[in-house]
Amino acid sequence: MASVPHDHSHDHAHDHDHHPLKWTRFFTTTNHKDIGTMYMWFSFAMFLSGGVMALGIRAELFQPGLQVVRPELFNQLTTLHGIVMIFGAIMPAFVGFANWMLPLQLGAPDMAFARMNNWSFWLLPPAAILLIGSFFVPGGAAAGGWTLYPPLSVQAGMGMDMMIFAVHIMGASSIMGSINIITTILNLRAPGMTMMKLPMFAWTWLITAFLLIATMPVLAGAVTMLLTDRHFGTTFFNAAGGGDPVMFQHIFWFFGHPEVYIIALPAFGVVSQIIPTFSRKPLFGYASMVYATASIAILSFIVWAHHMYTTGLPAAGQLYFMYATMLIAVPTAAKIFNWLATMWRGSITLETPMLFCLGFLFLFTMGGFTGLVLSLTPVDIQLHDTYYVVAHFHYVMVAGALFSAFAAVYYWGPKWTGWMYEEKLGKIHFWWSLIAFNITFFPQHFLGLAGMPRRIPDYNMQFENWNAVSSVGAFLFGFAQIFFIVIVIRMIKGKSGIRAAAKPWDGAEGLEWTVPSPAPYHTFETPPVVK
Amino acid sequence: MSATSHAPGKYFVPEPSKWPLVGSFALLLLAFGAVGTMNKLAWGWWTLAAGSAVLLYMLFGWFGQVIKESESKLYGKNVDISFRWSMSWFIFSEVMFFAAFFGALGFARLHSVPDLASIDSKTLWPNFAGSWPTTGPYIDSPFTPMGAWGIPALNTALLLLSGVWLTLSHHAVIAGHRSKAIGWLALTIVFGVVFLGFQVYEYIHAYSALNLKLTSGIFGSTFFMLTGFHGFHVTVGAIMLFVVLIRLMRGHFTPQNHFAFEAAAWYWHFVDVVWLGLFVIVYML
Amino acid sequence: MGASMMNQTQHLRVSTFKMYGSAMKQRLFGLLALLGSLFMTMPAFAGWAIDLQKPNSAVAEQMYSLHVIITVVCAVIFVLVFGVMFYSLYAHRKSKGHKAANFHENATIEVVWTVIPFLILLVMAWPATKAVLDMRDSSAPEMTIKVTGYQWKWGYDYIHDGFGYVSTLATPLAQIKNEETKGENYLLEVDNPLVVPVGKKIRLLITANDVLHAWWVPALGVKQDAIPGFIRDAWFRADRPGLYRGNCAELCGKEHGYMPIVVEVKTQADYDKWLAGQKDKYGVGKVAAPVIDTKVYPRDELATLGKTVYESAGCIGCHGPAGKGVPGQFPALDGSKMVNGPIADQVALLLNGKPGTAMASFKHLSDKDIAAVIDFTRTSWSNKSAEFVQPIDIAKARFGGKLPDGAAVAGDTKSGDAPKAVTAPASSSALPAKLYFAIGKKDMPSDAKESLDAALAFLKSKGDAKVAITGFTDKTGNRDANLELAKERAKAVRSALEAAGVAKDRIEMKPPAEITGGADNKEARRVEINPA
Repeated sequence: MASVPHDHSHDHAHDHDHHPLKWTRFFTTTNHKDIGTMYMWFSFAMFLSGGVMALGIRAELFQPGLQVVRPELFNQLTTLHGIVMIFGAIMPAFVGFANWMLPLQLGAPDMAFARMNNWSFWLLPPAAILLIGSFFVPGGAAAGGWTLYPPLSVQAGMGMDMMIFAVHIMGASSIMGSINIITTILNLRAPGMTMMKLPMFAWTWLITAFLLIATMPVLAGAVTMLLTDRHFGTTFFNAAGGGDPVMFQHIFWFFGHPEVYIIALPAFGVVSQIIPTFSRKPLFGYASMVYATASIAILSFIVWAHHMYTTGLPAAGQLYFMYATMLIAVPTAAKIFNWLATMWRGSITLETPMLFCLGFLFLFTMGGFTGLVLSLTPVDIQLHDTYYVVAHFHYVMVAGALFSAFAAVYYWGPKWTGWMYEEKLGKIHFWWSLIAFNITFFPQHFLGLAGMPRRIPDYNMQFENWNAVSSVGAFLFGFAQIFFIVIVIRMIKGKSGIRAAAKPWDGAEGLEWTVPSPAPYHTFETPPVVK
Repeated sequence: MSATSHAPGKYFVPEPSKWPLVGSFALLLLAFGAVGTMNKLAWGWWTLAAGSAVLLYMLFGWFGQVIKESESKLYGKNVDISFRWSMSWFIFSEVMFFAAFFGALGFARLHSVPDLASIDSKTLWPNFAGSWPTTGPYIDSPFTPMGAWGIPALNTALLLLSGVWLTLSHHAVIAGHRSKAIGWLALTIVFGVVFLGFQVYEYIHAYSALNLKLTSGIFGSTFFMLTGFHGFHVTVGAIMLFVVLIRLMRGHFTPQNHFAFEAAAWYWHFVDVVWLGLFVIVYML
Repeated sequence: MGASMMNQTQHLRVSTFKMYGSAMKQRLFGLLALLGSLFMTMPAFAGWAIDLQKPNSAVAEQMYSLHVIITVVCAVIFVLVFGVMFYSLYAHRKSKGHKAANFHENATIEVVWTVIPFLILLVMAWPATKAVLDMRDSSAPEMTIKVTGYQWKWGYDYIHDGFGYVSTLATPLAQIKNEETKGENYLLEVDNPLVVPVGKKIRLLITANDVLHAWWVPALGVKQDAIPGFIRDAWFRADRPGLYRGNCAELCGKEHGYMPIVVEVKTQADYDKWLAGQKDKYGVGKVAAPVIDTKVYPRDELATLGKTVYESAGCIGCHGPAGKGVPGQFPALDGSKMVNGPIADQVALLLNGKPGTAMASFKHLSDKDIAAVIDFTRTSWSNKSAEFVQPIDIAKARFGGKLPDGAAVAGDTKSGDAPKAVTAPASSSALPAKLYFAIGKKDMPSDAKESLDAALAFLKSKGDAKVAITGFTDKTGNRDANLELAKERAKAVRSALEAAGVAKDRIEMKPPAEITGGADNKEARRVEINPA
């Protein structure tokens, strides 16, 4: 979301000032800032398309009966909403932040593989074309839920094939992006920056990238089996040939559960950067934060079947996955306490990035608690595949990832654009989003408890009122994001009239604040030395 | 940034490049081509072929560029370490890809098939015994499984020996004996190609004589997908070694600096190890 | 409202007390449960429901109490933690002149706040473990019912009583389309509920026919995925008679929201009465042969009835009101080869279904209904098939081509009274048998078994007979390649027969007079097995 930085304050003896900084450079660029910018705009475009799908869903659910969309289209909307938001909006947003900020935070001139970096990005538009385009093919888009469970996904039309190839392409993009990030962090740190001096954002991304490399190929394997079951007569997920539909769920969730942390960990990183800044106090328990992040990542590999309690796992399996899942609460709680202790006896100010982090803390903790409720197998039996689960993961994903992404934009935006955003507008955006979010999703807990299944276009009247409330909230939340884009464009155009200093936040720490705002096109061509 | 002005500085940042965009376009064509072909649409094959052509163009162009940069001594120590990290992580991702298929085999064999033959399942499949190998309870097309001690055992020996030849070649590179290195490397590739030839023969034999097919239930599915993906990786590895062979003949490698050789060698050893897993788990057990 | 709240609270306390031993714990959990249920049941009036449904089984009660306890524990921690945060935000603000301290580590407190959550979790794990073990203990059931999920209806088989039926949504389409006022049980009502006796341990064997479904009745505390090809079990023991409603809880396609579950729990006496009625209805235990409808109906009358069957039996769900199906998922009937081709194939398809697809068997329908719906599809939309069937044809197909000896014959039977209890094995038509191959393929088609069985039956019935195998291909492609392909197809059939134990000398390979031919390309890609 950066404007093109024209301010070449670095003293370059050589030729790159002759590079025309025209918009066409984005197609061939090897510059981490350009690529980060593209990631962020792409992510925002996908966020809006996924949002439109969500509003279609909520419009249909405003009242019982069928009004707006047919059930077929409803299922396509829920499926694509999930995939587009996870793979199209949230993950690219954080990869965008990583691209922009990691070289700045590490004191590196660029990412380790600058050319491959551009490929990681440019793979996303083809995937988006496949996903969005699938709505317009015969049979429509994939409609089996974002989890693509067979046999329903084997039954589906060619929209499912497009989804499968989109997942392959996005997986390739993620793996290349992750290899790039890991290599950059491990090999391009400025002299003197030891691992235990890494900024938390870099630490969380290092662990996230590991999770991505470990799980994306597994997802690729799962959807490949789906593809051969669909077209080449294999029977991986078909009992007639000795396969098992539940096997897909095991493989999928071996990817899917770490995926939750792939989304959450970079968000933790952002929050761990911002809270110390606005508390004007170093992060409490840096080492324990690192260990907690690593334990969450490791635990995420051994809890996958808690998404599958109702498939009829043996009692021993249910107990094991219940205990392991409950255990995740321990390092997660440690992180929350660390953030609170960072604020404790600080000197706190409440600028927009801090507000979004506090919103994150509040909502993510709520999502964490409903997660604990769901970890108990007997309770999950009642709540699995109901709106309670929908509420739970939106508290974790929207609050965990989206709120911290907003925080990151307000926090690092001045570095990208050279201008401060308008504080009053930012605060309105925060309160508007927070309230609308809770109106949308808090009632969904009630719906789920009362027995409303998810992924249904129509329901009994006992669910009528909370659905109406939730739909109103969803539209309010949607409009808040239109407001957000206005804020960002006004920031890029410098409407606040306040130029950003190299270090616009007095409590901030780190190498990214030692370069001018906006950050010049090339930074740290000679590595700084960290003491 | 001008790369040359830094050469061979601590860092290397390449010039803007069209190859990523070309590669993305290739994958877009390939994806649509595959979707079209699988759904029997007229434009499917053409799009698939066009996508493959563009992909080949990109691979030649991109790797050509990398080789050129390497030969211009633009890659310093730092880049070398980056390459090592990235190749290791790439191979790790490949390991996880195979893990999904080995996992599927293990799950089906140890869990699904016995479950389909359990007492409760008699309501659905009264006559299914649940032995392994199987076509499953509904597909009625008996086959003979592939024995381990014919071609597969021979193939194991071939791949293991090829690994030995490759190591000998590597030692020759380090010792600066180029012609010896070329000889051993060529032998490695020949062994790889013979391995692939045997695999093709084995597939034909399976289809024609054993009635063992991709559609032979879960055994056929896992057998052909695992060995098929492995064969594909052997092919890719052999192509990598072939490129390295040509570069070796052109004198690109020095005893100190030959990471392309090492990367291809790591990859080759990885496909070796996967084969050992296959041989034990798919053929022997 | 107040009274029901009290009831629920007391009931909860009782159930919670049952679970835990010591008095101290009783008081603690009782208090928590009381608090929780006060909070959770406050506005429990229609349209604003916010709590789990009232449990009607011991397992559901455990789930309910666990949920209350964990929610209260979480709420208390939440208030404490965010109390600290809000205090800090209030007291440690820069605008109040607070200067930042500089501590960033404290090993003691970090250990404390790691250990305390761990201990809380340990305490929570205990009742949860107990509930899991109870929930999964399906041993010693007093009754077993097989539950099958279909797109989009439920089948219930009383496997020890020898009958079963299908349960579908009873809400009229007009209500869904907002053309009528919605009833109280909108989308939660079915034509035939599952009926069980109160207080008995009922074990459910749950499976599915096509895709995943999940059988969920909240009040009974059962949610179990129905997995095609696999049996999963669950159990419940209902505490009180009444009607208990639930939904399919696993996305199963377009009408996932329209396959509710209703369980009617009856007193033992009422259940026995019901059971006797059902056995009577389905003719269980009667020696009498089924009643066959031999009347010949006018074609229009059958087609008109067929439209009603098409809409009520579920055909419309996949194939659509205009017979267009869903491209790529469900085949169109309008212009379909199946509907316009040989009528015997369509009869067989409806009776047997097509395994591995969403097309289930509809043999539970009456002969007249099946005939009617076939006649309807053959005369509707752009279809103009000359062939049509009568109920008697369906009856013959059910019994393998001819009526069983001594079948009672009547002028009519009531719709829905299919002679299910005496279901005959799937028909295997006599020779000549045909196998249809995929384009360009010589692999045995997946539906080959029936034709092979026919050939085997023929060979078995006549000790010295032989069969002749003839392969064909469609018109497209190179003639030489086609000759080869036809031969390969014939060989594939021969190997299959040999594999099934037929001696080599009883099989003849007979080259075709003309390599291609037949009504259409599918018909052309066949291998025929004829008596030699």
